[in-house]
Amino acid sequence: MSRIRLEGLTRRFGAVTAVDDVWLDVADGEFLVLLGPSGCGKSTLLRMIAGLLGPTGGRVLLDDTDITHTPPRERDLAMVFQSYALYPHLSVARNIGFPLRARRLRKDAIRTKVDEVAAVLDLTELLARKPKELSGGQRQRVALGRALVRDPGAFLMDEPLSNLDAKLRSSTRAEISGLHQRLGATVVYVTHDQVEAMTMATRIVLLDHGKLEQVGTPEEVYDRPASTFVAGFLGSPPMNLVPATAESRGTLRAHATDLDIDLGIPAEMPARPVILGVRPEHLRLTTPEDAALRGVVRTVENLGSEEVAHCLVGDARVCVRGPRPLGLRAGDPAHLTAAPETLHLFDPDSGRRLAWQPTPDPAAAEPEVPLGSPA
Amino acid sequence: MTTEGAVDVEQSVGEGSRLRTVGGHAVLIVLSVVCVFPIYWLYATSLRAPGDVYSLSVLPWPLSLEHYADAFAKADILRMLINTTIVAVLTALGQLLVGLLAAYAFAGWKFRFQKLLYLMFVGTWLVPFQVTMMPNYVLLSRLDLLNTLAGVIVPTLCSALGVLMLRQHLLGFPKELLEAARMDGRSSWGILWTVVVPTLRPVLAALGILLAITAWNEYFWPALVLQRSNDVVQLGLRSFMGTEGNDWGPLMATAGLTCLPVFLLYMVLQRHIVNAFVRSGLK
Ligand SMILES: Nc1ncnc2c1ncn2[C@@H]1O[C@H](COP(=O)(O)OP(=O)(O)OP(=O)(O)O)[C@@H](O)[C@H]1O
Ligand SMILES: [Mg+2]
Repeated sequence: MSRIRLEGLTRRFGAVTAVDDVWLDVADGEFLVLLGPSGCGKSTLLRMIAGLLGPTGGRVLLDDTDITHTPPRERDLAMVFQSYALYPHLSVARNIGFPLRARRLRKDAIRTKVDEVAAVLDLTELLARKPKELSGGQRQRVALGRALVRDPGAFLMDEPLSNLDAKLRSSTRAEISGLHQRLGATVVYVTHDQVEAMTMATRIVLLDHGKLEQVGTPEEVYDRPASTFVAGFLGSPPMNLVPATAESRGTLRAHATDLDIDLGIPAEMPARPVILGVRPEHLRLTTPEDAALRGVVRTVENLGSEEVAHCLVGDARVCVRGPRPLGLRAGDPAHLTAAPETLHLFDPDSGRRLAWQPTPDPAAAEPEVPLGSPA
Repeated sequence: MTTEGAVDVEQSVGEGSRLRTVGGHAVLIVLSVVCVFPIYWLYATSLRAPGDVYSLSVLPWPLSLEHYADAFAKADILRMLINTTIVAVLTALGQLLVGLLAAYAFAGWKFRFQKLLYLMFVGTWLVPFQVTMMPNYVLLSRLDLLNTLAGVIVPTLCSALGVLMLRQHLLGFPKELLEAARMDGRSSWGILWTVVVPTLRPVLAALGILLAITAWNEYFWPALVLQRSNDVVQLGLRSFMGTEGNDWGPLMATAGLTCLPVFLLYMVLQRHIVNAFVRSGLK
């Protein structure tokens, strides 16, 4: 198993920069998920790691070897494609054995290995079939088997579950996670599905327009989003983002139309514009006197176990999520509040997360922008 | 009332379209008779008794195989058929190989002057045979290949049609399949033979048949190269044409035999051919 390092990896297509100066260190045995909206450069990044696409700048290192200019077949990597890319003219057994035949292993060694992998993936009965005689989930497992059979240094997967229905997707998700734990394999996994990312990843990389937005564990990216992009991408519905002004009145408060909330920071500083972020599940209903946000309910969505109320506070949209029944109906006034520790502040210009630094320390490499300094 | 009216309209539409169908079929029947009649006449004449060659009766009667016996006696038909088969098969295989390699390069790689080279390659299609005929002939005579089967085959090995069709198919080839094979450890050469060729087998078969039939039917070029021999059957036909008149009976018999392999090939593989061409049209 291997460690993968990307050093300033960049790829341009004419005027478009698909991947922009990406620095990344994927530790041995890590399950790294590349997450981002469509067109943000996930596949391009993965294909550069695979060697299917040359970078226009930067380096790729596998363990300590520079493999930037090594052809794919000499890199010790296996890839699972979104379309599965099974060889249509070959049986399942020969599809799985293909990489071994390419490496000229002995026939009986190939057979043993294929049988072993087929048993792990529950494909033993299907070994004689052609890909077109398989269901989507079975094809997906064959594609996985073809990657597994090689014992590669790392697995690269490009949206391998996106062609499956919801139920199959969640079972295959568990299967892949299980495989990762059993093999201790390094995996780089591309998806635009945040549930996949949150459930499978040891670390998530959020990409936007080819740039790294944030790298961290699922908890880190969810609990401390580094930017409004990350905050607005994760969660369903995502974090509420409301433009406001931060100002000291004894303690620091954020206020806007129909909004006035305690940020829980005992500090003095000049007023400044901020973006206030609060997750829908952290907002709770309260009495009109205690309400920090006063709005009107527009619609209520029933998710089965929970309900989501879409409200309008001033002219900002704010969602509230909670156990059903939430006790709100369209047209009702909504009186909401949230605990200070669940609030997030972002810089309106850069979108970066703002942090309160009681003692500014220039040596600390905080990615976060200081909110202000003690007055 | 309204429903009845609707039914009426529907019926009249049905009748109109039935009329059109009948008309269409009539045209098709006339056309196929026009196409098939000469071939029928060929076989009919070849089967008439020697005295009846100029008979205009539609049904040949009494039937006789005498012309066939005559043809076999006057010319070495079997050897000619074998030679022709060799020429057709080798030409088709050679053209397929050249076409495959060229198309793989044109479709799979980006290199300098790619467009220009491709245009030139395909442009050879537009150059009339009469233009290249003399230079090729001179070259063959310098290489001492005149009057050999190799002389017939080698100059035709590069078929623009083959390159064109195969490139089109390769452009539609799923890219992820090629990339998967690269990840799985195959070289470009290995990918061509382990992934591309097996997947394109129906296309290659259809194109191969088309090229083989074309090569089989070729008359002029073999006639030029094989001036002093009757090595291929198309030239063997000449031996029945004399200055003092043509020997129609054996000529028709030989011509009939010449057509048979092509008919057989087409009938056996018809579905294959039609499928591949329909699919190549849709993709
Ligand atoms: N061969 C190419 N030529 C030109 N532009 C390209 C090419 N490949 C990708 N791009 C551009 O690069 C950007 C990133 O593409 P990429 O395929 O990496 O996105 P992605 O994150 O994988 O999206 P998706 O989730 O839809 O698969 C897009 O803007 C795309 O248009
Ligand atoms: Mg993609």
